[in-house]
Parts: sequence; structure tokens; C-alpha cells
Amino acid sequence: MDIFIETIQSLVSDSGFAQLFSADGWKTIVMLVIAGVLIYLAIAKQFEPLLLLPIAFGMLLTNLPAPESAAIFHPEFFQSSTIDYGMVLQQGGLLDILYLGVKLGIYPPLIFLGIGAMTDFGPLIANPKSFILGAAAQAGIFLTFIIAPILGYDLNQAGAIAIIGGADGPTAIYVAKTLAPALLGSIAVAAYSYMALVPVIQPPIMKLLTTKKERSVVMEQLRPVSKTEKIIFPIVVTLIVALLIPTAIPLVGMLMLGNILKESGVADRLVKTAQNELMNIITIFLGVTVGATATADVFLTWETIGIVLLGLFAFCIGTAVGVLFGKLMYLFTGGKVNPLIGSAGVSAVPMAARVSQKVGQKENPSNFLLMHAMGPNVAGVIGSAVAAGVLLAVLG
Amino acid sequence: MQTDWGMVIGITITGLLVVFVALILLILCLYVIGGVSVFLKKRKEDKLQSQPKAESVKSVRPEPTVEDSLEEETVAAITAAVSLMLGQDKNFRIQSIRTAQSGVSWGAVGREEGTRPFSPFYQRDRR
Repeated sequence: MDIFIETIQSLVSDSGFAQLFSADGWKTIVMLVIAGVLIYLAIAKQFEPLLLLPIAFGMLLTNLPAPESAAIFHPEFFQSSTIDYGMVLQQGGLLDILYLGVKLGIYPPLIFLGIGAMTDFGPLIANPKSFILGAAAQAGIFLTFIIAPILGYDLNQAGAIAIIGGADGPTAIYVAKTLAPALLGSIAVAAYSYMALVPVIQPPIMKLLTTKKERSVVMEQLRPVSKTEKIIFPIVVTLIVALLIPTAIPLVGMLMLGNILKESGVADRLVKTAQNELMNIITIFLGVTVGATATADVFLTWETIGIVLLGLFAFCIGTAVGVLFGKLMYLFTGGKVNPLIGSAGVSAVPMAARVSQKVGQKENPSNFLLMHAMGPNVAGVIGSAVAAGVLLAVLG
Repeated sequence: MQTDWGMVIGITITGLLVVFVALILLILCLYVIGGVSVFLKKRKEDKLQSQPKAESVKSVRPEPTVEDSLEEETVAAITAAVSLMLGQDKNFRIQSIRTAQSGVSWGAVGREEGTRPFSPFYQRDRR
């Protein structure tokens, strides 16, 4: 009878209910509620569901009340600058091993490989001036980098938070895992949430900074781009970026590898795999493991609120500066460039380009800006990767 | 921890400059590549236009006359059968296709002999 009671007592003390009613149990409940809200946003509101759903579920898994011995993820294994692989393999669980892909910087470049295989850089090649708008939109990153230390973040944390302004999830994760791994979960949630909110955040800024006449500009049709140009483009981009900012090679190199596979026309099987199976597998692994880093101790802090606010600031500034540069181009070209395409310089592809199209069509229903906006949009992907390379080179 | 504001401003300005320089270099490269591509395309078009037009020997061939009751698939099947019969070395052109007239004649007998495996009488006799 005593053995029976002892067994029951042991089971109860090791159960999740016992953890829930402990001193810090309220944090667990709050995190589970937040995970639930994110799952709702991903499914019901379709907020970047491909990433947000795995992130939210990873957050749910890691915050489930459980004793230390049954933890699904051990963030303490990855806190030092070097990884104890023996400990990870012997004592770690599934998410610990999968998290190695994040910690070692493997997943984000592979995601970029898939993105490159899905992206058509034709509009950018046809109108190279779009690169200026892609560069301008990265101002949000660097201006946020100035503001973040005022709120008490150190330089590495400021760099990791500022990259949210690039509106590029894999890039944000790639930078955060090096510069501020403790903030990775919060930064990833903020980055993907703002990417999903592009249609809500951008239009008011675009309308505020442009006149009706500017928004109504109809741009000339883009010239056709030859296959040779599309094949040379990824090689040239890789070479130039590699020579200037070698730390950006993992991201930009893989982006261009995916693109040259697509444009060459001789590697259809590889392209299909990169676009589908590879992207999907890496997306699941990345999302779940990044979400698993969002434990209560890390997420329920004033730092997270700061990250959310600074992320919004970075996003808004990036949009605004992109539109302002679009206005400059409008002036210099004698009214041939619609400033709305400047907002597409944030690299939320293709959502930001669609927003430019939608806002432009409200002024002129026969105005089709989508392909013109795709130029700055894909330029922004390269621009944010270059900006990430700069931050990693200086702060990493 | 004291923030080194000089470093912050320095990184900000340097970062923006590097991003702009990198992308401006790419713009210049793309303009060069685009310019070369357009130049080569224009040269090719000019070359084609300057060549004397080759005389067209082929005359315009009339379309084959096909009976209204015949479906396109039937015409295709007949053409394929003729091609198979003549072999790969022979070129031919269908002039017209019409239903053979019935009636007792050497032609009718010959058709009956030639299509015997498909004849309903042949099928009946073999059963």
C-alpha cells in the first residue's frame, strides 16, 4: 500500500499539473495563451501560416509544464559560444538536435535556396534602378540600430532587433542566432508577424507620403529580358557581394544558387525539390525550433515588448524611406516612376509588391504596378541580406 | 553598460554606405549586361533584315477535299494508314477523301479483298 501511494505521489509530483501550480506556473499559462493566440492568427487570419504555425506550436511545446527530465528543448545547451555536441546528442531531445540547424546557420541559407528557385529577377534586371529602392528600404534597419541602445539594448541585441526592418524572416533568424540568440524567439515572432501585417502597416504610410498625382503615375512597360541575362545575373551578384561583404555569402550565395538552377532550365528536378520538398522540410524544422526558444523566462520580459515596438518602428521607417526615394526618382525621371513602388523595397516578397499594386489601383484602376514593384521587392531581398552581412561583419 | 555612440553612428553610416555601394555596383553591372544584350539583339535583327529574301519555290498547296460526313479523326487515321503503307521514304499528299461507291465492279471486288480481315462476312466465316 505504501509503495502504491509513493508511486502515485511520484507521478503527481512529476506531472504537468504540479508544474502548473508551482510559483512560476502563471508564466506557463500566459505563454500557452500566447501560443494559442499565434496559432489562431496563423490559421484563422492566415498570418504567414507556413512559418507562424510551426513557430507557435514550437512555443507551445517548449512551454508545456514538465519536469526538467522530460523537457523537449534545453536552451542551456546552446547558451555558450561553443556547442557541446556530446551533451546535445546524449542528453538532448528531438528539438535540441533539430535546433543545431539554426545554431549552425544551416536553415536560413537553405530557405534562401528555395526562395531563389522561386524568384523571377526579370523585373529587376529590366529596370536596374529598382536596386536603389531596395537599398533605401534598408534604412529602417540602420535607423533602428541607433534607437535600440536608447532603450537599453547592447549593440549586438540592437543589430539583431534592427534586422526585423528588413522584413525577411530567414535573415532575421540568421542574424539573431549569432548576435542575440537569447532573443531569437521574440525576434522571429515579431519579424513574421510584421511580414503578415504588411497590407495593414504600409498603405497609410504610402498615402501619407505621396500625392494623388504621384500615385496615379502609369509606368512604361518593362523591356523583355533574355535568358542569357537571367543566367549571368546570379553569377554577377554572387561575385560582387562576395567581394564586398563575404559574411553575406551564405545567404546571397544560396539565393543565387537557387536562382541559377531555375534560370538554367537544365535542372528541373533540383528546382522542383528546392521549391517544394526542401523548403517545406526546412520550414518545419526552422519554425518549430525557433518557436521552442521562446520560453517564459525569455519571452515574458520588457525586452520582448521593446522588440515588438522597435520591430514596428524599423518596418515603418523602411517603408517610409523607400517611398521617399521613390519620390526622388519620380522627380529625377520627370514623373516616369511611381513612388508607390518604393515601399516594395522591404523584402516581404510578394506581399509588399501586391500592396503597391493595390494602392496604385485605388487611384487608377487600369494601373498595373505589380511587375514594376517586383523589381524593388526582390532587390530588397538582396539588400537585406547585404545589410545582415554588414551587421555580422561588424558585430559578429 | 555605457553605449559607445560614436561606434553606433559609425556602424549606421558605414552600413548604409556599404549597402548602397554594393547595390549601385550591381546596377552598373546590370546596365552593362543589359546594354550588351540589347546591342547583340539589335545587331542580329539588322543582319536578318539586310539579307536578301530567299525566293519561295513552294507553291501554295490547296487543302485536301474531304467529304463532309467524315470526321477529323477518320481523316487522320486514313492518312496514317497510307503513310504506313507507303513507308517512310515516300512523300505523299492527300488530295481528297471520299466514301467509295458501292456496286458490283472490279473496284468493289478489289476493295472487298483488300479489307477482308475487317469485313463482317470474313468475321462471320471465321466463327
